[in-house]
Amino acid sequence: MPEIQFASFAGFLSMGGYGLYVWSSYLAFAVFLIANLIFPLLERRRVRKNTIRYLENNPPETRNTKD
Amino acid sequence: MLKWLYRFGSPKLFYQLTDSGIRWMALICASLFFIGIVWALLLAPPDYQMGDSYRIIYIHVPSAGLMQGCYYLMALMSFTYLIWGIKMADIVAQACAPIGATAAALMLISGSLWGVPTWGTFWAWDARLTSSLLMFFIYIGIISLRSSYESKESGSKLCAMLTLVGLINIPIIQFSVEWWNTLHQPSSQLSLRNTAANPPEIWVPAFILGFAMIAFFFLVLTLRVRNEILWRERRTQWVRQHLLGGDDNA
Repeated sequence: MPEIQFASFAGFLSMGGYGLYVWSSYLAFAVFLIANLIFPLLERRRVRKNTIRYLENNPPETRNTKD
Repeated sequence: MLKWLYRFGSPKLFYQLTDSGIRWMALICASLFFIGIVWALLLAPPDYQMGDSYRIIYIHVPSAGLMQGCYYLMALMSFTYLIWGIKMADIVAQACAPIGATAAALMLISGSLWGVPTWGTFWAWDARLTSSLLMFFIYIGIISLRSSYESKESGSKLCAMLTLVGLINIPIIQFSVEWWNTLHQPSSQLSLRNTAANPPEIWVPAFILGFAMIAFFFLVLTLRVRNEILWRERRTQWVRQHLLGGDDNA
């Protein structure tokens, strides 16, 4: 069974002296995950709003012109 | 199989079939990432040469894999769109590009951050590094080409062609570490036979994070495809009913 590799929290933060590089990488990873989630979700709100506006401005009756 | 393909080829069916699955995918993703990251940062033993700096591999390799895998899917979809004109293929190809671009950026950043303590430099014009940077620019090029068109549909064909041209770069990335022996080391050829050098404590979290990345990719891809479907299909009856309720009978 794997065990926790660090004796203290300070040791965990320092990552054997490589803390700056390791934590920056994992921070970049967090930014990657959050950005990839946030943008489609914001886009979803925008698309729904735009599509609803489009549909309200173009009721089915006047839709017979082919566009 | 064909029936399955047909169903996902229909924007309406794709939208309806993915409706309930998204929450489950998000849940699977979150748990895989949690287990993978805790294992990678806390439980995996330090490397005997690189110490704890090698923990960057758990980010670097999955993001590099995603950058390439995403490109394969994008190229396949571009090809499908060019040959058969299936619009779902174009929608998926369009949704791939920003995910691949961010994966490429993450791969470059994590690679640089790993390069400083291990190679003594964050960048060199090594074959693998240069071809990977090129891949990032290809993604950016495809995104800007598509956004430069007023109507999205007209840029689709050109984007698909550019995507297929960019495919040349894939084998260059793949074999760059073998053709030009400059800085980046060849792949570790991880197999179940040489587990002595890489005990399971080290490679299991790598696989977990790899699967997490794949799951995350399909989750985000689905979100993006759904957005695009809603807008492109805005003239159809089902979108009207979905957004405004089923009051009209046109």
